Amino acid sequence: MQEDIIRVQSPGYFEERGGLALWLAASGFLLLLLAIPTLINPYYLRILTIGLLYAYLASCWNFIGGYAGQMSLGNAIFFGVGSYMAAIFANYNVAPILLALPAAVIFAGVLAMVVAKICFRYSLRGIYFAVGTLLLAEIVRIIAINSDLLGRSQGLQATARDGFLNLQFANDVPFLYIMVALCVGIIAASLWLEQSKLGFDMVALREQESAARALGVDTDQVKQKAFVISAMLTAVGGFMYGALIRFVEPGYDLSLAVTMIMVMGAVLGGRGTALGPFVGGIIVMMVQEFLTAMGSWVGTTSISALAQMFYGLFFVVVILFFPKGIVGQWIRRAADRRMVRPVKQKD
Amino acid sequence: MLTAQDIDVRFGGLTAVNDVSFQAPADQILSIIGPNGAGKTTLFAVLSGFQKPTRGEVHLDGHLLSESPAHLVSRQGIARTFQVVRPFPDMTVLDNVMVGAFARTQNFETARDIANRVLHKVGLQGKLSFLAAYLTLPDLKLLEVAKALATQPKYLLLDEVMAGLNLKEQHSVASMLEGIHADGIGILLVEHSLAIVARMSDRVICLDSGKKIAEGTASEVLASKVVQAAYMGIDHG
Repeated sequence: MQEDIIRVQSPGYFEERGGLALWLAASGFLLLLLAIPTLINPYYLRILTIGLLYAYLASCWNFIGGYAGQMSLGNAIFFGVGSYMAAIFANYNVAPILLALPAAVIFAGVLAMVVAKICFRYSLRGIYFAVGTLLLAEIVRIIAINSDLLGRSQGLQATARDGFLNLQFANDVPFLYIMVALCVGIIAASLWLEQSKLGFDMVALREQESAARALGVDTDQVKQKAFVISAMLTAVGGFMYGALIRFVEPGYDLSLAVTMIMVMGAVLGGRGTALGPFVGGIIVMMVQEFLTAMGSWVGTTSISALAQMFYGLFFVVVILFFPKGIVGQWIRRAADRRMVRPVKQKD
Repeated sequence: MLTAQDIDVRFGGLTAVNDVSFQAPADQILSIIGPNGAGKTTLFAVLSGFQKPTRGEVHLDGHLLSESPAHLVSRQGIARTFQVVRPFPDMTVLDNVMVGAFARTQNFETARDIANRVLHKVGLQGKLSFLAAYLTLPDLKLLEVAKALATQPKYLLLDEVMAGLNLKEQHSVASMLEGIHADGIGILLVEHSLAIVARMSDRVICLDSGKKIAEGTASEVLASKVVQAAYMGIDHG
């Protein structure tokens, strides 16, 4: 006997990930960037490159803070590892700056492994993990301020040297291309993760840790993997920043401001989504830029105290209306619509 | 064969489980009954590796389990459900079950096939793409069973899966569980619904204040005077 059963429409691949339109828009945006860099004035070219860097960094944080749900506030450490490594290689003429990249990634990986072992060995969860990683970042910053090798509080200049291996270009166009490639790469990696055992384990860990363990998930190991992956990718972003700006300082590279860009980008766009942190990172750049421009209209070039307030207010309002982030809320709405409009069909 | 030997669990001065031993062959359904606070859930926590016993050992087919952490016990073939359901709320029903299925495979398609099959078995096939956050309690209980079953266990430890269901629903879940048992999976039940205990159990253990006070067939245990006094509040004078 066949019975009528309520069957819910199976969501499509992109519908579950924010909708095809959003993906097309993002692809269009990236293609446009690839097509027109020579037409943009150098200032906006730099801003766009930085925006892509924010998007990339937010996606890096998304692995540990989004998918795995562990609120890391220490990712500035690994950003700093990347940017300082670039500066050290150039300033002390160790080797071409490009070789600082593998060095930074390996160093960040090992450091993250040690940090993860300590944090998760003592079962630091939730707010305790957040505070623990925040303090570690602060310790690293203070070490940098007191280290002659790292240039103390003045930071380091990454001396310009000729050649492709030193990433010395006439303009920012190559950097823009590299950042586009990194963004595409990390979004692809996120999509791959969403279909892998590691990805499922990470989300299960975030949603209900003990239930995940009951299903055979080694949650400590998953946290470790997520943290190390996030750290190594963040170091790549830090390296790109160091190579682009050619100047590193503890007051920015190792500060909470860098971590907050990553966290806000991911939270704003949607934690635990592939495209969310990319969208969020671009928005963070746009808001910062808008406020800087506002500041210059009223007579100051720096982000004034008033602008900082607007900055904070903007995030509060967005989070109020999109608690799951912009893309995250979009995905949730699609899920809601599937719930209220089930399709009846024969089994 | 799942064996528990001389299990003690003490929390400071409180003895939650006191010298409990039993054997559970995979071809039997074993029920554990007893009043609230008797130590049933703690005993389950020991069997599934969530709680280290203060004394005593748990073996599965001769392998020592009680030294392993929970995720390794699960990989050895002991799957548990939680009395208070613990879904992954922001994942779909299918994805919830796939987390369990990934315990035995690295492959996405294989995991999805296993999850689909399991969801058909427990009767949630119509709600695959619902977020778990939207399920009703009876469905969440089924989801708990499905997640556990997807790990392809040798034993299923079910902690009050019938609670909150009416008698008709209880019997339909019981039929589903009997079907699973017929596939060769050993079942341990913690249950308050005596109708279900009587229907399903090959053997019943009654705990009171952490101690095993009776063991036998369902009719023997439910007729026992100590059990009636401790659990059902029947005073035999």
